[in-house]
Amino acid sequence: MTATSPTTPSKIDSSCRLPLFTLFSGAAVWLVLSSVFGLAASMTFHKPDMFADCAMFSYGRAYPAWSHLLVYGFAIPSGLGVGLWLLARLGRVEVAKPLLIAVGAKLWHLGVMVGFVAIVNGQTSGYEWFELPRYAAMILFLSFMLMAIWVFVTYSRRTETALYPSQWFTLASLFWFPWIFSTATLLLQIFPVRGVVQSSVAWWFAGNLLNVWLTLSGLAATFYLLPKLTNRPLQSHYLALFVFWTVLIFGTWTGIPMHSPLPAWMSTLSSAAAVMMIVPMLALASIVFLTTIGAKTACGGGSLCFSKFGVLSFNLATLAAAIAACPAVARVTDFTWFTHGHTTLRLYGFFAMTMFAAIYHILPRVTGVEICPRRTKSHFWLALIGTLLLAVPMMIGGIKQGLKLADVSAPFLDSTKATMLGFRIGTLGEVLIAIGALIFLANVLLSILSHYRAIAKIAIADATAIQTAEVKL
Amino acid sequence: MNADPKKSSDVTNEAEPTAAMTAMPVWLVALMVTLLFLSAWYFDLYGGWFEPKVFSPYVSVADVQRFQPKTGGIAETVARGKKLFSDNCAVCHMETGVGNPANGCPPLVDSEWVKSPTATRMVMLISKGLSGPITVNGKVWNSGVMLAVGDSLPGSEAEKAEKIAAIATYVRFQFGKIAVETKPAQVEAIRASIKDRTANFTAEELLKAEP
Amino acid sequence: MKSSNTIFLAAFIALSASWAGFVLVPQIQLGRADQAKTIPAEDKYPLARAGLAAQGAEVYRSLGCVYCHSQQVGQQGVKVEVLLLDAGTNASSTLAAIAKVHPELNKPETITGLPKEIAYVADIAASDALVKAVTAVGGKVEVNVIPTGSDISRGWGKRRTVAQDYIFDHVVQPGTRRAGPDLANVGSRLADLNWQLNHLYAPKSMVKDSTMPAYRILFEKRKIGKVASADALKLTGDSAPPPGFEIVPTDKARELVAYLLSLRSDAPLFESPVTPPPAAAPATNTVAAK
Repeated sequence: MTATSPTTPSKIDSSCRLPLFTLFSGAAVWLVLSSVFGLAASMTFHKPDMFADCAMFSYGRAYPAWSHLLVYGFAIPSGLGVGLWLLARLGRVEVAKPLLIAVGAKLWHLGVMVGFVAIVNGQTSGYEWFELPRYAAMILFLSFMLMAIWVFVTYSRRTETALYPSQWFTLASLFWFPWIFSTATLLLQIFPVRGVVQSSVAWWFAGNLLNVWLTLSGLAATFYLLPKLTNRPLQSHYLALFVFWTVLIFGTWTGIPMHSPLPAWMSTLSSAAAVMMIVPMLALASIVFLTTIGAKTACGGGSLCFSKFGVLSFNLATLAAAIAACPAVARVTDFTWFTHGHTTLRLYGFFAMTMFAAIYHILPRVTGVEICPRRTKSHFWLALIGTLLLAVPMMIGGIKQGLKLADVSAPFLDSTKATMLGFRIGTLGEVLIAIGALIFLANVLLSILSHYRAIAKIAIADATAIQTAEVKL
Repeated sequence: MNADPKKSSDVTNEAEPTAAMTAMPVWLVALMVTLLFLSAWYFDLYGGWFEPKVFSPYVSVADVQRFQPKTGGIAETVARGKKLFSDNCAVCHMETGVGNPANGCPPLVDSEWVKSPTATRMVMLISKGLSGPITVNGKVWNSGVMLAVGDSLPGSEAEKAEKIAAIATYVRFQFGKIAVETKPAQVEAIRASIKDRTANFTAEELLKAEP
Repeated sequence: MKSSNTIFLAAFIALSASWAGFVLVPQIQLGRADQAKTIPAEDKYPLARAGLAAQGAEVYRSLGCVYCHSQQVGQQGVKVEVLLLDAGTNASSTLAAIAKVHPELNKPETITGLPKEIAYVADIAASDALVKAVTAVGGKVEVNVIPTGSDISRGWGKRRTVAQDYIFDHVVQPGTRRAGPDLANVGSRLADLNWQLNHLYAPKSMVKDSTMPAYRILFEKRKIGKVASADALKLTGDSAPPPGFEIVPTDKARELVAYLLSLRSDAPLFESPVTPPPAAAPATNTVAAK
């Protein structure tokens, strides 16, 4: 480390500005677009023939477009952005090559767009959570590597050598994604493996993406925000370490559903791993409990609210997944909307909420401009109610559907009818989520815009001052 | 919207969070060990120990084996015979056994020659072939010669007998609807009695051997 | 944790373990699978999809059918059925023989109304005694392996699907959700080409209250020319086109239906034993070779 004058938080924040603006604004745009497609997909259940003449919005394309945009468009860039800021702040170091990271982010968004256009035009790969065709996958991989390298260089130049838990989680997430993503791209699309090995790879990838990558990236933010906002130390280092290890060791084996055309050992192992995820879940619950108990901070619809709800959703989703992994329950819940319900809870409730918390915490520091608390508060309530209205009825509807499916005396259509109420409420949830996403987009864009307006004002003020001085002369 | 950069004090000068070094609660570790033990037990019961041929609800190869249909028996011989028939006989008699008048091949379906009480004359016929007129289902066939297909099958005498037995079983099962297996030993005995013969049989000779 | 090396080591150990488990080992175990022999008929299974059906698989993928339809049959158990085909010439001695092995079957109904299943036993070996006893007195029995489970009761398949069923699919789409019925055996379940085409065009016309979206994008509505097209859909009621128009399936619709009709996975395999339904009786009529 060079012996230059120690950097200050505000210097670090401004070095993050360019990459974060690119990552967050793109993420917000994709989130809005994704909720539009989510809404279109959900409408199909009320009026099946709604998009009968419009291939782009037909369910089989709207649904993958929704999940693609949500995961690759929103989740990964926002997670990366937050991770970058955390590594810079906690390592007390300015970002290395912010321009290159911003270029990587632009390239990433381009890849997401290419994938999106391909999906709605029927070039879907056919693997859930990995819908993008291979040319888009290659763009994403390259741009991720471009960003990850400079994020890592930033980390390695840190001046603060003691490591904080958020750094472990972020670093592991940087390592995780290229490995799982390249495996999936190579073995599913470039040199496709034979038969059900494809399913195995695809499920392994999806499990690692949803249950490990999102968890690592989200918890990095949680472990930073909770102590920071409550102004208390994280309780404790060892518990966080325990969460880290157990998420890595158990989470990576989840993903293979109980019912699959794979040999018994694979689904058995995977369901055992899903049950083991109860361990990090309980450890996380105790961390949050011990850290925030007695804290006098009111959350008031700000970052702390988002973050707490994120943890709650993580615990609920993990618990639901663990219960659904038990063979007797899986017999009912597999192949139903229950799985979709708790996955949505994980995506919208845990990850998106945690990212909102982090972004609302980071943006004012990077732009120097506060975000109107009324707008974050309305976003919080819309997102919270929307997520609950979407996920909970889906899970209940899924159980009802599963019971009808298991009851062979009931005709198949009864199982579809059993979910209709869930869909009605769920669509309402999607609408609220979509409005929330719009507010989020407005918050991010206005925040960035007002930063440049402030700069322009200062510049004008300077120019005027010079002019006045010249006039005086 | 507030465009002014409002730098509040907590934004510019803020300490990063720290982690307390409180010890790990023991109950969590105990819970993890318990769950790991239960998982291992569960895997032992249902996991099939990494066998690629074991799919739920079966739990082991031995378990799958318990439900394998009995091999041996007529079904297996019929399956073998079907293959041998399509390799050696179907060229003339067709896969469906309807024969081929253009080449002078009589049909096998419902033929009285196929439905004879024992398989003796069929084994003789397959072994040495046939020439001369033959009446099948009331129609006289005289333009073709059947070669000594049985003798020209590859393999030792025992293997030949076994193959001929399978063919005879299949033909009688499929075209004559006689579900009786022709045993290789039976074929060997018949072939031993005609082993020095080189000429084709005629229909009369066959009828004499088994009326 | 003090150093970044420990973090990367932790991540490497955890991820390489699951990578080996769910990527490498499956590839070693199943990645080179080739056609297997069915039991006991020894036919090669599965056969690769040909032409139209193979193209249809691409249409299936492109339309995202997998988000509502699974292509895998589950199985919860298996039972072995002893079917009494014929009580032989002396029915009472057959009954006596049966009763010796299974005393609870000692009642006259056992040997009336044949063929019927007289007992379910734990496995094939457990049926031996009964089979021997009945055949010894001239009766005929059949032992059948019958997989059980809700999917099978719904008629979605005869047995569970296993890795072997998918070896020739490039995008394997087992699916994880059943907003619509399972399609693993739709080719044998609903083998009617016209039904399939009509159902794709207007699902409600074939299945009342169906929640499946109509796939009108796969069809062409056109003015009837001098002669009506031979392959126009025969539609009635709400879904019928206005007079003077006809609905003609596009190539994509034909490919998709060819694919659907090719879906079938019920061959008896070692890893998923099942007694196949009795083969069609051998041809009885002497097809005149003229």
